[in-house]
Amino acid sequence: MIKQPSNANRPKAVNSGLVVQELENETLIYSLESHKATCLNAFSARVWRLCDGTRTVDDVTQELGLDDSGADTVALTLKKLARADLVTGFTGNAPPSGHTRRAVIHGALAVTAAIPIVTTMTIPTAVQATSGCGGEGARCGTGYAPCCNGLICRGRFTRRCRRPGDD
Amino acid sequence: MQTDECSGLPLALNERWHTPCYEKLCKLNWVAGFGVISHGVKIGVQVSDASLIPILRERLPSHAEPYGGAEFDTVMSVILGGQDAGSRVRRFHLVYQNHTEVCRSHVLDEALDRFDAFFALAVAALSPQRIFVHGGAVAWQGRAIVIPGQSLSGKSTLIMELVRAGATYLSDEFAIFDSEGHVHPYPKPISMRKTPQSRQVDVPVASIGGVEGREPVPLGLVIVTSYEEGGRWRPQPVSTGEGILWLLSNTPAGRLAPERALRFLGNAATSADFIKSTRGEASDVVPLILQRPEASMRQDWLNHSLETEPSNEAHRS
Repeated sequence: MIKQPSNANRPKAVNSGLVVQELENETLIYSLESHKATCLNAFSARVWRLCDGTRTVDDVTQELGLDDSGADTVALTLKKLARADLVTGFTGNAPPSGHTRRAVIHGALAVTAAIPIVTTMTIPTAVQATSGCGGEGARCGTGYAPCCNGLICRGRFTRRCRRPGDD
Repeated sequence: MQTDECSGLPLALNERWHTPCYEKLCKLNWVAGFGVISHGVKIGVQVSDASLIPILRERLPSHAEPYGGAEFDTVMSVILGGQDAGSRVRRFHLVYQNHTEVCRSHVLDEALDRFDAFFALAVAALSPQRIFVHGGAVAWQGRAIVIPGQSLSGKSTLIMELVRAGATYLSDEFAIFDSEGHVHPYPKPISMRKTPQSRQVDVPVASIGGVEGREPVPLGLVIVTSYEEGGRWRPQPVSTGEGILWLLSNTPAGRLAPERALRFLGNAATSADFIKSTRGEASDVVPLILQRPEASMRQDWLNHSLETEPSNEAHRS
């Protein structure tokens, strides 16, 4: 069973240290601190912008013109935004009324286009962006891409990605 | 290629990148150097042995122009190793980018390959004029098809098949975006590997009957894909925002210049479609990609799917 969030929750959007790019129906947000890039659909972006630290979940729901069942969707959205480090002060788990996430989405689909979509990626460093991971036998260590999962980087002089236990 | 010799050795890094560790590297005995500028990035090259200069110059990309300034955005330093006559000591060949050692090898070719890779990476990460996305690109019916992806994801194989099928080659390493969102060519041969561990082999585009693009083209399609043995081609549309995240996650300058990267990629994405799918053999997938008429490069084509037979794909890069 999921915890009921307190109405005292007054989530606040993180606004500093961000690069925001508006698209036609989406908003892209890049965090200069965590190097996470997040894509919000229109609904999530509206929720994010309404989080000014004074509104509760119910207030946000009303501002969006949703009925009481919409509070579940707003809470789910806030949970996703909090996970993406885009809001603070939201401590409740979502959905609040004991519904499953699927039920909330289904309900949101039935009444409105209030579907929260929050996609987050960590942007790699320049080397990581081009190198991927090293396969078995690939050079590794300083200046090289890290080994792929299941391989370890070792070697006395020339370090290569090897399977654990291989000599 | 003409380059300017640098008299002031060791070469000076600009303030942003200068570190105490680089000062220590500067204390080594650098005997020759030169400077080039590429896509607005000033790159210095200094070596411990003058015999390396012609070798390194020959390996520079065609877009590198001579630069005679005193300060650089990045400095590549190469120390020649090997064995002296009468000595039993074998010294490593070493390559540094700024103060970071990027290669330590007894094999000179390996060190030179790393020099090439980090030279290209420096241009891609630091260019003030363009945004480089790691991936392949071709032009088809006046629009660019970009396939972002890391090394060994199979993008070069797919690019090669697209070129064989009539697409115009733009790049197999970087798709270069300008402020208007147009994709520029990055002229170089297609680099193929027989195995993930083997060295890359350059395949001239003309040798496979392909044509190299010279002009920038607007972005038409971005394909997020990677080879999987027996993979099924089932393209799913991706939203513009999520597609831009995919491009950004393959952008070397993504962390250094996120604002510019998002703006350039956002401009490019306004007229583009984004799809994702795993794929099997490139030769099976290419007809499905290219059969999309330019005008309907959107939904109708997305319904196509192809099941490919499991088989080994030898050439991936």
